[in-house]
Amino acid sequence: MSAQFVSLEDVVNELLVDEGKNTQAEFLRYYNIGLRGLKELNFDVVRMIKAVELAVDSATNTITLPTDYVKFVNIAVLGSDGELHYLGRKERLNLVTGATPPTPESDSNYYDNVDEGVYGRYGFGGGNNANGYYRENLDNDTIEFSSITGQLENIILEYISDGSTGVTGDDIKVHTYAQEALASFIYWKSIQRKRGINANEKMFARKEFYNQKRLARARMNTFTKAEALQATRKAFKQAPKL
Amino acid sequence: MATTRKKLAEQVLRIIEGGNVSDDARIDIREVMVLVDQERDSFIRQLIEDRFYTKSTTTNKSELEITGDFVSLETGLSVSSNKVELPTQPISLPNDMGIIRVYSSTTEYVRMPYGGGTSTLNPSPLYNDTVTKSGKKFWYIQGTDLYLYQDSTATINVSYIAVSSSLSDTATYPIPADLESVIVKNLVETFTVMKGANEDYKNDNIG
Repeated sequence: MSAQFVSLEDVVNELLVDEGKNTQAEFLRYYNIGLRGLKELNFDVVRMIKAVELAVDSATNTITLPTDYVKFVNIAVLGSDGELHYLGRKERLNLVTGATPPTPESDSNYYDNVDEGVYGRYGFGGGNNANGYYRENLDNDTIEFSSITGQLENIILEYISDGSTGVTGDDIKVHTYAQEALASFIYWKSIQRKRGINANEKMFARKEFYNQKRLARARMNTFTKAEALQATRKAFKQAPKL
Repeated sequence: MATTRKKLAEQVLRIIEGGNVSDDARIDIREVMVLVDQERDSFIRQLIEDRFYTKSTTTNKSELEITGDFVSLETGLSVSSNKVELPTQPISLPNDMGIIRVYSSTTEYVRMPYGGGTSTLNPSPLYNDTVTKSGKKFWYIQGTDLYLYQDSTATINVSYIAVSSSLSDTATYPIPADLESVIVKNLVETFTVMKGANEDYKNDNIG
């Protein structure tokens, strides 16, 4: 493992040392809290984004979501140019399995699924997508697809992972920038519901976690000079001199 | 040389009897040894809790600090069917902290809370998922039986604080040297009071 990451086990052990404990008697409890802390940080600070290629089931036009899936970031197909071509979101896609469309088919003004704007029907409006459409089906743990350019075969799914499902041991890790935030979370939660601990200590632990989380977010979102220059140069375009 | 329970008891007895312990001594050495054990157990809890109060602002019992003063180390214990019986009983402390460390030449075992199940189904539902995810190997204690959750056979070393009465009379008595004199002084005080009491020669059992 590179220095970029530190395992949850190491974070827990270091916290035990911080607290002056000589044994690992509390290890399992802290580890349990740490797993929740990892999710908390992965959602909005570290954003462990995974990318997978998934085959679309030709019978149902769906993909089954990975077990550690929390929320998608991008859904795309891979183009022959090596770049991702994003699909569009459509809330009108049917989620009911086996639902029967009316017969005879409605007229095209009502049931307009012929062109989907792909061929630029006059007056149809923009915002359409030639790559296809998706809709998340939370109830079934799937994503539904539709495409008028043919059956979608494979899609690239970029999603936020919870960081711990389906992995064990050293593979459960956190970015080094968020190490202190995770340790602060574990400490805060470990004392939060103990009656014998005074309120000041709990308040301090809570503030410490949010402060460490803020620091971690700031570190994760660093913006280099080169990136700034690149962003600026994108605005430069050739234009005719008048 | 490390002290033993018997040595301490003999010292107490010598002081009480003025240096020479005769066969007619009213106080039996077995009685002194029992009190030596009770003094040690009482010290262990008292000292550990004192360390806990002075080092921490919290009142969390799991903050107990345990140092090597009272610890026994048993090496080469053979585990079979996930279980090994400890030679002596560990002292009862919060979070099974009477047992300091369980390890083999290749593995460091971590404590898991007793879940009330069998050796293969012990973890309570609360920790089942965490046990799997951590990728670690665990032990738990049930009376004097120490169980390894994942390993059915192994050769392990265990360091723990044994209950005083479970140590043999001539075994090394794990106690800090400075506490030996405190135990002796306390017991001499106790027996001096006892010795000063008038004996009741009247038989109250008649009629």
